[in-house]
Amino acid sequence: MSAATRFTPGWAALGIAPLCVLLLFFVAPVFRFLLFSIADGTLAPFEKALTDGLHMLVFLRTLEIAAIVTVICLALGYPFAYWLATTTPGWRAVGFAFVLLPFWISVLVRTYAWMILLGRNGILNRNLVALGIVDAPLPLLHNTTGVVIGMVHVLLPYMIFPLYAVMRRMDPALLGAARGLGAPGWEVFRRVYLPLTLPGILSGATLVFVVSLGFFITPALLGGGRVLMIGVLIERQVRQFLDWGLAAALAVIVLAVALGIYAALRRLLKADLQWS
Amino acid sequence: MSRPPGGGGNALEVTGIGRRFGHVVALAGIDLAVGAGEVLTLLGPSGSGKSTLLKIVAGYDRPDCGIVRLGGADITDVVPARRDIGMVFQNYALFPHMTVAQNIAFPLEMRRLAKATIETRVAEALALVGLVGYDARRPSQLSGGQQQRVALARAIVFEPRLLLLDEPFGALDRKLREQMQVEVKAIQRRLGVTTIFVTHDQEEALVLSDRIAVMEGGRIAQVGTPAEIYRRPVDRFVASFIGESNLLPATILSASATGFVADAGPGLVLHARVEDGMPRPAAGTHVTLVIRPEAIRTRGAETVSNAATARVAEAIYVGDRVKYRLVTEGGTRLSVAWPAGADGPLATGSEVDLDIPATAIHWVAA
Repeated sequence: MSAATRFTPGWAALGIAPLCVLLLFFVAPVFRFLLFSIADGTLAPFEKALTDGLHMLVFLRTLEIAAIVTVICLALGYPFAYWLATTTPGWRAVGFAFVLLPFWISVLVRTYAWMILLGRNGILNRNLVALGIVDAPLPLLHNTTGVVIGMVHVLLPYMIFPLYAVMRRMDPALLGAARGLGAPGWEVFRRVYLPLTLPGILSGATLVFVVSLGFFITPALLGGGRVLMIGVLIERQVRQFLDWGLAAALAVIVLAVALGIYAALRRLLKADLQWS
Repeated sequence: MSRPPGGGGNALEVTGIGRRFGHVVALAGIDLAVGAGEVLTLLGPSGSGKSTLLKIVAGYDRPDCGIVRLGGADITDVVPARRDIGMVFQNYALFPHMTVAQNIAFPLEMRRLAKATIETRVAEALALVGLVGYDARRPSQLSGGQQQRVALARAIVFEPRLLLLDEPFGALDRKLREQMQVEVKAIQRRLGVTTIFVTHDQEEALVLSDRIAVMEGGRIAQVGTPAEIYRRPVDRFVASFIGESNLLPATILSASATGFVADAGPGLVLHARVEDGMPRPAAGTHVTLVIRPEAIRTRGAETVSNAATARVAEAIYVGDRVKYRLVTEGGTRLSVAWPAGADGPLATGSEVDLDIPATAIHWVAA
């Protein structure tokens, strides 16, 4: 991981063009936008962002949803990644197709698909009622449940890929050795497999959590305006209240939190997991 | 052929073990007994089935047929975790996220021993393998030899009923390998643990083993002490796999109660002696004669069994000895190995008078 990456001048030159494009069309506008937060020469927007009870509430709600999504992605992604890493090449190709196909489809399309599936008269509820499993349609749309379902669907690959990478690199002899030394199955998992896949868990969880923080389309559509995540709030400040300063201040805070989490993970991986 | 030494009975017995992978027969009916405290080596080229047999003994693979008994009890269907077998893996398989001490403590923790007991036993094991003070290191901070010591300590710390070593020296350089062989043997002797050792290196097998089982094509070709295997190989394969040898196709001219006479090529009629109790070839049959290079002597004043004259085709100086490729007057090629004399190796092209002792000629089926 550490010393393997090396750049030669020739290859570095190839990076200049994309770097310019990124700087010009991505970094510069984002930076320009963030500057709105201190545009009038005071920190008033930040004060407003941090003291307003609503903003804090939305922020905590965002962290909560991001945490729930992360935990569910881990719970679903871990066994699936394990299966991908250990199955035959044929099944692995099939498994990857299932992960990648949705990954390649636009988030917007997928979110609309979920609206059709989860609605009050959606496919899911109609069948559940028809089969007599539930008496009344379940509230799956325009609430947190719907947002979480949609976000898990979009973010699951971000969890699966880092997990799959560490699981593929796992030396099966280590598991065999643990068994031979007297470890029953769950001890093999707890003492050997889990600690050795921890870097993948941390990477995947960070990725999912950080990306969740900034989610906009899914909570906006599946939440039906009733699930306020910070991304939705920022968009409202800009579009409805034209308060660019506050929107930028909120964005800076989200960015800071995301970078903070990322930095903490880097430190954790470096300090504690040197063996990998 | 040879019984396990010692009166302790058999620690391990495998009976009728067969294993096939698809159409490939990996093991074709293996019968083998390992005596208590004995070091038995499974020796063979890759694909001979030795690793498959080891996996079946360790419990990582199930035989299609046959029984594995450890201390008299049938363990064929017992999972590895309940076999009480210590194993040193080819690449050691040390847990990279644990320290040396944690690695060695692992099997003890799995056996739910008291914390104090674990600490004592880990310290003892570290002392035994000469790694005192390395407790807190990670495997990645150790050299290959040190990693192997940790793997050995981890495999013996829980006093296993059987110790398995799977090509443990393969990853070490030559000098370290020889040193570790001596140390492992010393530790094994001290603990008296029954040991099965797998290798494809015949020299290693000769150094470490009480007995060697030479494997070929999923069968055991021969079991015996290193000396038996070296001096009396049962067939061409064993003869060529263990040490160097001259394999001469020959026709038996006559056989008597004590030996035989064989025609081994133009001008090379050899008189051989057969030890009591060993089989004798029938007159007229085609056989292969096995003659070790160091057994062929230069002719001096002493009694001559079989005289021959040869020319030096090639001399290879290997320090303590010189290996010669000789060609007899009749055109038969012979390899010999003689101590390097003070005046250096014989010149290429020079003539030597040979003596092939009757007791040095062993025969196997053609």
